[in-house]
Amino acid sequence: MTIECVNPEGLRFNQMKSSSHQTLETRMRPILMKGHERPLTFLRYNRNGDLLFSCAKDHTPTVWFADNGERLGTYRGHSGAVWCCDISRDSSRLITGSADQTAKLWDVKSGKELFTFKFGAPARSVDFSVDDHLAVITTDHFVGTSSAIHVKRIAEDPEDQVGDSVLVLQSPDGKKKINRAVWGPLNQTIVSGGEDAAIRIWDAETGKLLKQSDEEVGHKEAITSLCKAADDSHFLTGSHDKTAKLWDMRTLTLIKTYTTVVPVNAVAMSPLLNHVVLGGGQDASAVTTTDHRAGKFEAKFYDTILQEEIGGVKGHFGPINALAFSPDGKSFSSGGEDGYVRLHHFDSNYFNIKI
Amino acid sequence: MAIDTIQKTKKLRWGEIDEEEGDYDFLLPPKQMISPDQNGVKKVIEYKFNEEDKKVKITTTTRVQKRALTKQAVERRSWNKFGDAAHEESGSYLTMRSTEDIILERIRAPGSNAEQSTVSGDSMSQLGKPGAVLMVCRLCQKKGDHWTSRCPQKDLLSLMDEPLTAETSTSTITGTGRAAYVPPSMREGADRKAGGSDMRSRHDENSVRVTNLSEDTRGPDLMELFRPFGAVTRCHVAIDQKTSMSRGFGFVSFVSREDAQRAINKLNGYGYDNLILRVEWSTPKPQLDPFSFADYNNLWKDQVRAINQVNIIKFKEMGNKDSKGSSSSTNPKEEIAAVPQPQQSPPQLIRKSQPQQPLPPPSSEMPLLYPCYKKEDYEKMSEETIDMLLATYGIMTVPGDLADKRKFAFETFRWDHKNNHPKA
Repeated sequence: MTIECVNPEGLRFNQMKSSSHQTLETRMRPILMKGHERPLTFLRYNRNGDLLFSCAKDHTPTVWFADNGERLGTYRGHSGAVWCCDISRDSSRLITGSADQTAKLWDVKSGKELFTFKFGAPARSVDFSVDDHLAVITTDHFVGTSSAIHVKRIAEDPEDQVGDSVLVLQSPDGKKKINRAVWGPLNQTIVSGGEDAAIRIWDAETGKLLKQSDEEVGHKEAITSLCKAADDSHFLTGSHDKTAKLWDMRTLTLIKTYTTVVPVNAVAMSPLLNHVVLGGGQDASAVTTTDHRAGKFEAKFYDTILQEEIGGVKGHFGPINALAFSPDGKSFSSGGEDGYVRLHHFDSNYFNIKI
Repeated sequence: MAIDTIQKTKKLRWGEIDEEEGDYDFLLPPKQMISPDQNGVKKVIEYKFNEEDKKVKITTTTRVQKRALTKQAVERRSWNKFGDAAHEESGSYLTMRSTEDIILERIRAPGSNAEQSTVSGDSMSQLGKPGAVLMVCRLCQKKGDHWTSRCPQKDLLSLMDEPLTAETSTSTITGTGRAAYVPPSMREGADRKAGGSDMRSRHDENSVRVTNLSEDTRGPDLMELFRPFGAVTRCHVAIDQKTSMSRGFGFVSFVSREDAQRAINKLNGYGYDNLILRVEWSTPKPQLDPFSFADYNNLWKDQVRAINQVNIIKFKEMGNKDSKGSSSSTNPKEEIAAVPQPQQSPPQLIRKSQPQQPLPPPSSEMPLLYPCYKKEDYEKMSEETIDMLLATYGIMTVPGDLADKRKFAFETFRWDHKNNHPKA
């Protein structure tokens, strides 16, 4: 089925330079979306790639159309910063985790709040299982509670939804936040990474700790972000130690390391090409060196296999906190401390990049 | 008499047109619609009259994309807006296209595209690669050892004779003024041959020097900027190796001198990336290595000394004018006129400063750029520009809408226009 879309504001078109010096740069005219007043925390596309969900420190997650950046709606109900979100496979349910100590289930189409999971601490990360029947939610350390990973059952019918946890996993160091927890292949495992710089693989049924990342090769500082590959065989973690590492999902062996000059806040993997994107940056208040490059905030592209930097996409006025690739790999979006979401559609030169 | 009244024909005679009614649309050419070409670009050309009753041609260019969407995606397109979006009309200000192209900036020139890409217009960088290029010295004809400019025998051998005549003529002019600036190569005892001939390679004859560049300007940017004036053989931007930032100046070499002259005329004073460019000939100073910052610093110091000398003499003469009479009053004018070069401003290295970083030591002579816009300028700026301006000074996410931001920016960057410094 085809639909004709006329780009309302995209009046520019690629002009081939007719001189003998033909540049093969990747040029993009990103779409800027300023729907959030506070820094962005997370971005996620739905499975079909036509919707983009953004979470920010202002309390309203927003959904946009991914082709032209037009805003579809906002989900009102949270009273704290929203840290993470996930969308069900059929794009009917949205789950969000927030600093107001709740995780909420929403109906994507209407914006209606379906259910609230209450915790004793801020909810940091949420992830639906493969069949959307379970969700893993992590909570921070708070007065009286240590950081933990909760598994909740998601009912088909929102009326039947209950708030009980199927499983609760306590983190070994209760004071350190668990920044991301995701489901492993076929929901058999849960992979988590957090402030203590260790990646852990847990058994999803028994809750036993199966593997932990080797301290020597692992991250040296807090892990801020985690991105799964499309086929669940490997995943990428980004950390404040200015590196991102690629791991095997089953054996937790380190496959690749990508180094950069700034702390990494967000990572993403291209589903189409062997590209890895890192986003990060130090806030202006934290800059102590006179290295002028530290002030430029760019999403850096690396070749997955060669571990070499291909280039960077500038534009944000603050550190990049969220990155997401669309499922077809033809566009990506970045969200920054400046509250902007920048949606980039790649031009044809991008797919011909050679190192 | 059965004479039928002449029926009024539809055709209006110009004398009957009622001047008060403004519907002159029949005078306009019809609307043209050009269907999408191979890039998917559709053009609609309309004509209408604007407020001043002038005929205006409006060309709307849109890119029409056919996209395959799943059934569910199509269905989602027709969903109603909810939440905060429920009351907004389509095409609201929240979503907008960036006004400038964003490039995936490559780390280094892609190896396979070296011939095609303009990044490798920086041919001088290839000099550094050992053994990569066959090095032939034009002076001693020795291959593979050194370039012409590094020839150990450049004192004895020389390439061309004609630049020497040009230099000797200028030295006679400048010889008259006591305080005129004399470049090191023209001074007595200077090794003129060494300087003049080597730099007269095919690149430097029509070279222009561009100063006051922004930090992230690179060779390809200059190439793009100067290409409309003519064929460019080389463009280079001086880069600080440690920080990979531009040092604020660069050189562009043209094939023809007229193109270079036109470029100087048009681009000197041109606003580029928030700084005003200075474009001038780079050839008058052949004895300097254009890629050495030390020489530039020394040049600036020479010029300052020269200017100071002129000023001292000027004031002396002015003091003596009353006692000595008119004869001496003409001298300062001669001397000032005889100083050819110091009026050129030095390459200014202006860096966008971030308030948290320590100020650079004063000896490096880098003035700080502080926005000195008037209130009207802020009113004209787009939201993106204001955000960028505030962000370079470490101020993120100003709450409020565009009017609030403008007010905030105006109040933050208070500038005393009379005295030309920031207000306290």
